[in-house]
Amino acid sequence: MAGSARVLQQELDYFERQRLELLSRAPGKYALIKGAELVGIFDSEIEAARVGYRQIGNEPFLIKHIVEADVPLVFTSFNLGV
Amino acid sequence: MPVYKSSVPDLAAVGPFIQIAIGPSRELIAAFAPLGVQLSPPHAVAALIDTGAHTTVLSPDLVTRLGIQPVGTAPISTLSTTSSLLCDRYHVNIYFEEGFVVENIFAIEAPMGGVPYQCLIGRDVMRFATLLYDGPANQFVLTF
Repeated sequence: MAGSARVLQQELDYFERQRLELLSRAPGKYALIKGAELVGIFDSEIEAARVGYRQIGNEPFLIKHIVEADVPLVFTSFNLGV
Repeated sequence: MPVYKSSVPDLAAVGPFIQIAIGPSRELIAAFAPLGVQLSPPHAVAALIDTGAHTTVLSPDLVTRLGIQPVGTAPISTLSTTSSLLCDRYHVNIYFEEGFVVENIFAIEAPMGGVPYQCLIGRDVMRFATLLYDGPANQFVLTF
């Protein structure tokens, strides 16, 4: 989990640097990022994934919701080992 | 309308689990099939229906076997964490018996907490379903 998060560290760093600018351009949409490059901005996650697979392939890439802050997903059962 | 009915000896102890298969998403298949690229076939796993899970969860071992790559990250918060943890997200299809498929789910990868399952079916899938949990009869019915 932590190790895999590092796989997308470059993309996450790029998004954080660009977050405010992306927010002003396309709030609520989805950014597709590979490395330190913005591949595109899309209306839905599915659309971003479609383009990601076709342009980048089965390689790590980042689809990120363009919002002011990321809200954690809540798990209220004890079935996760974290 | 697919209906999955299951009886177990002690439903309260083991929970409502179901045999499913997890495979690459429809979008990944659609992108790669014309190129002749071989993708991993769906892998059969035991999955626990977990209404306490915001999102479907895949074990790290299952993700490795599928040979798929992350398409995002998500912070998660659990009862045992004091701050959010960052998990990778994967794009998958979930195959139920009798040919029913829930496509293009964005699942997270996280280790299971001592439960003998490789997948938790979260509320992202359950939003399409009705779960009837019949404790006295030790059975449940999942309907899509």
